[in-house]
Amino acid sequence: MYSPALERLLMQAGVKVGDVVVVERAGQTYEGLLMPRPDVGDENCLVIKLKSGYNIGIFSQGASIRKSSISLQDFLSSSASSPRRFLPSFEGLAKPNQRMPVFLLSTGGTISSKVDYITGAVSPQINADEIISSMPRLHSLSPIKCRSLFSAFSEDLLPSHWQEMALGVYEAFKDGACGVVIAHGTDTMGYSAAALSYALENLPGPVVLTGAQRSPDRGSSDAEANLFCSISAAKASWAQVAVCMHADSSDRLNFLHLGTRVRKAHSSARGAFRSIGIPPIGRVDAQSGEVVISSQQIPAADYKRKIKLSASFSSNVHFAWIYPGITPKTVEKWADYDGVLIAGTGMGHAPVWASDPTSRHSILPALSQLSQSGVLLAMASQAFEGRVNMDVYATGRLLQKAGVIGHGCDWLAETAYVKMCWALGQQKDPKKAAELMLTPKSGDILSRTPLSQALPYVQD
Amino acid sequence: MLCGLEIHQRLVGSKLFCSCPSPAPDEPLEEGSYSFFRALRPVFGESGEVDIAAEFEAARMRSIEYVAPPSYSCLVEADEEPPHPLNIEHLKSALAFALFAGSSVVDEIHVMRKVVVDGSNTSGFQRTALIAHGGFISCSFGKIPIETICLEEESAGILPALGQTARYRIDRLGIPLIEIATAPVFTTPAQAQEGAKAIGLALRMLPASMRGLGTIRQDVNISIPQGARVEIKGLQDIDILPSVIENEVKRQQGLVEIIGQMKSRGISGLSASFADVSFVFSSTSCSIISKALSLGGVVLAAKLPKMAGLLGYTFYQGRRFGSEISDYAKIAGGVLGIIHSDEDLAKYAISQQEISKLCSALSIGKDDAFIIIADKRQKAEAAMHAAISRSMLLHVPSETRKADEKGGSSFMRPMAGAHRMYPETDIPPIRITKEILDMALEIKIESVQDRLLRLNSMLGPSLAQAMLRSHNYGLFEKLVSNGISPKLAAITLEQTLVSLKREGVAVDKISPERLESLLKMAEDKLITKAAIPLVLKEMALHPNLSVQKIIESNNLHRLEGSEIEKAWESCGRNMRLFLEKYRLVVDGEDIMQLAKKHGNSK
Repeated sequence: MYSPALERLLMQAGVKVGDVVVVERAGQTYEGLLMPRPDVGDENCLVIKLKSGYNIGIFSQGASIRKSSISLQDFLSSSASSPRRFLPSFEGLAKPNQRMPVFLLSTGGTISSKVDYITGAVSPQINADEIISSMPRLHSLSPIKCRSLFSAFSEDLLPSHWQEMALGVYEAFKDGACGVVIAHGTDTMGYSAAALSYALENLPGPVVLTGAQRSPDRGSSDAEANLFCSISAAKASWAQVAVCMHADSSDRLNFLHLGTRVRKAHSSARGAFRSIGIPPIGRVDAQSGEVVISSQQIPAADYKRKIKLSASFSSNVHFAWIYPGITPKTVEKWADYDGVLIAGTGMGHAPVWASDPTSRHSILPALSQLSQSGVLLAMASQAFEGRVNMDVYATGRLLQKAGVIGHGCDWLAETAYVKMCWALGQQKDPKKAAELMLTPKSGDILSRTPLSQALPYVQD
Repeated sequence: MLCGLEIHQRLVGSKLFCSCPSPAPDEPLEEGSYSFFRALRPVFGESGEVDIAAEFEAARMRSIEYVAPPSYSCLVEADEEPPHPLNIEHLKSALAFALFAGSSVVDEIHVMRKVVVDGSNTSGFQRTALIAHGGFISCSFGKIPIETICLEEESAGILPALGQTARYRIDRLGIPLIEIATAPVFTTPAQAQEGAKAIGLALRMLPASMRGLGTIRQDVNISIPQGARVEIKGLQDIDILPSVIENEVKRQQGLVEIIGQMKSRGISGLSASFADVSFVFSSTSCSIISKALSLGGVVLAAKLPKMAGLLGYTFYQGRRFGSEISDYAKIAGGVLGIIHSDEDLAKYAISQQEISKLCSALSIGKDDAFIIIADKRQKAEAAMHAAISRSMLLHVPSETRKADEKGGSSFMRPMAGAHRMYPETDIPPIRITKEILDMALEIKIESVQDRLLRLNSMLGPSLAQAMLRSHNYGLFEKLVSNGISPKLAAITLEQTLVSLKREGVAVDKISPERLESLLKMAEDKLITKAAIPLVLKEMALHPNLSVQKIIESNNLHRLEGSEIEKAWESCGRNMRLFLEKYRLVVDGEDIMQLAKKHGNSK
């Protein structure tokens, strides 16, 4: 938005955003398209798109502005190049497969975003149909049915969105999907993958979450390769919730990560997603679309299976990070929640001052108080990998005694948080919810951790 | 003929949008570089249309390998991290030059994304920002009006392709460039060349300008009446600029004439079609065709009605209308080329029989021309579409072309339009405040005239001219400010080192620091000037030895007073012998003295 003063100036001059205008300032004359103002930068600068395509900002003070004699159409055509087109040929690609369709559900995020001139940034705007139509290679994978569930940045998602997605997947399989792809923001894709792993039991086919680390409005976007791989994966015979993203920096290979064991491990790179504690469950060749499911524990697709849907999630769970200096006062404030997932240090620790648990710095009394009042408390580790073990140190033993569950669990903190939302959505009684939480589901809790995870990092 | 120039000058320091250092122009590809592989797609511009150039590139999308030298690239060059803020030092340099040229600086800079889908940018676009409009650069025939000054990032460096995989090195990607675009004011090739030189020289006056081969590049825009604006890129050598322009004018004039002929023959646009004529060549002795067929390919042929004789029209040496059509086919389909009816078909070992069979299959008459393309069906079809649409065109197309070293050019892609540009939203607009402008004004830019006058007074006219254009100017200034006499510095840099290099001495092994310490010793009269070339040779051979060590081990310390006398005696007071033995360690002045003193001796 332009400043109110500038908006008035524009109104007086009878021009509006989208007009071709002439601006004169300090002896220079500029002709171009009046652009909307991004919400960054100086709101007193007019943004003009010149014929060359460049945008420039002109400070409005002392500037005169009027409508140009050139019409918008003439301006656009004079700035365009010769009208002849070379049409890309895609005839050589495989003919559409006429069997069961893949359902593509869009939920927003970078993968369905484009440049937004209001915020001056990338925002989710495109729906599933538009995504597919802008990527010709995906037509070789048709039939693809598109549905838009909602359009949001994944950092804005609520547990209720998980439910919406679970229902969307449920409906898609009911409507004959062979597999479902969910286009999702990458930030909290791991959470959603875990949520769907819990909400959808007895899946007939694959549910693949994918996204993009570079928006599709740019040539280098990873969106096309990710969608190609994900849709290819959704046509293959397996049944599990997984995240399908670039294996590394190249547009060559995508990994399939188990929905309960995946984390976004890099803020921006293409190969950001990692399987934690286990290898990826599969891979997809980004050129051929060949899918290899490497884990033998993943069942094959079976469309006679009926989904058992349990998609209610509590939205009153707290995800607490333990840090040096956390005070009992902070912990006491958790009393309003139905449950708290504690991401503790090391093997599942928190400052309980084992040698003097009643010290004023110890959070043990506060935790005990919460537990006694019926707040479900569970422990996961902040460490990147590994198991919670609250038997080794007195700290852990005190925490267990205070009612913190999770001892022995090798689970991801985010997954454990989602699982608590789900468990409390299924069971109001904290004891029963605790039981649900501790029951392994969709590979979320590893009973054994392979040695490879402990081997030293050696470069070859 | 009207011609405009775009001059690109690299700046020293770090990259424009990250903290990686910029490599020197001749930096070899670093060992231990990583590789990653990408495919780039066309994207939608602000107006929702795919830019024509981008679409064209996508029609021939190939896999791209990027080689990432670890010292000169990070996640930003790899497009794995958003750009960092625009480097303010480089902005100051660009602003300083704009102010120097009297250009009007914009009030707010908007970094744009210019779509580039040939793979030369990992992101799929080049980041560029318009900094200023107007202003001028003076040259011998007057003032060259500047249209725009931009600050943009350099593209990746191309490496030889491996099969269908294009390869680029990304150490070069992101080096800052100042781009000066002139108005189309040059009316002769010589003028354009002189203009390019004048702008190049003016840019050299900017302290941050990088020097060395490839650090400054010129693109040229050429148009003639009834022709079109054509941009020619990739001019490595400014000396071929005039012939590039001349040839382009000839090409456009030729096209105008061909179009006139087409119209008078009643050709009114695209009316050609093509067919699979593989059966004609089932037992051909043409090696190109038989090879394509044996690899599972097809032979496609198109009749171009009423086009007989036109494909052979020669614009200039080595470039006919047929080569233009061939360029389109090559780029659109990745085929090796086309065969057409105005060529000597016997050269391809195509028999008369095959030609008649082909003509009757496509009902080609004597007024018609034809094109043959043999390759895999998909490639051949794409190539044929492009070749036909190019050959039947009734106007001169606006194109971006690539210069060759002989002064000709070939088609690269259609001219990109404004749709190619959209905002770089990862970087907020930058308001040009008075503070920034004041900082830019602190960068002093000498005018070419002033610098020449100054150099003249120090060096005399011919050395001054050499130093004005020298890649070593910066080093020269540094040496002089550190107490080396200007003449000694200039002669060493522009003459001694140059002739040593010609002899094959690896002068690039001599660091500026070691050079300075050598010249300092000459100034302090610890060695003679005559010994400098020999010491430099030794320094190049032993880059790890100190200058002191080299002088000691070669006994090159200058002789003084009684040492000279002793040497004189040892040569039996024979001047010829003395000079033979001690020329490099006795100063010229001392020899004169000696000669004067012992004037009567032999």
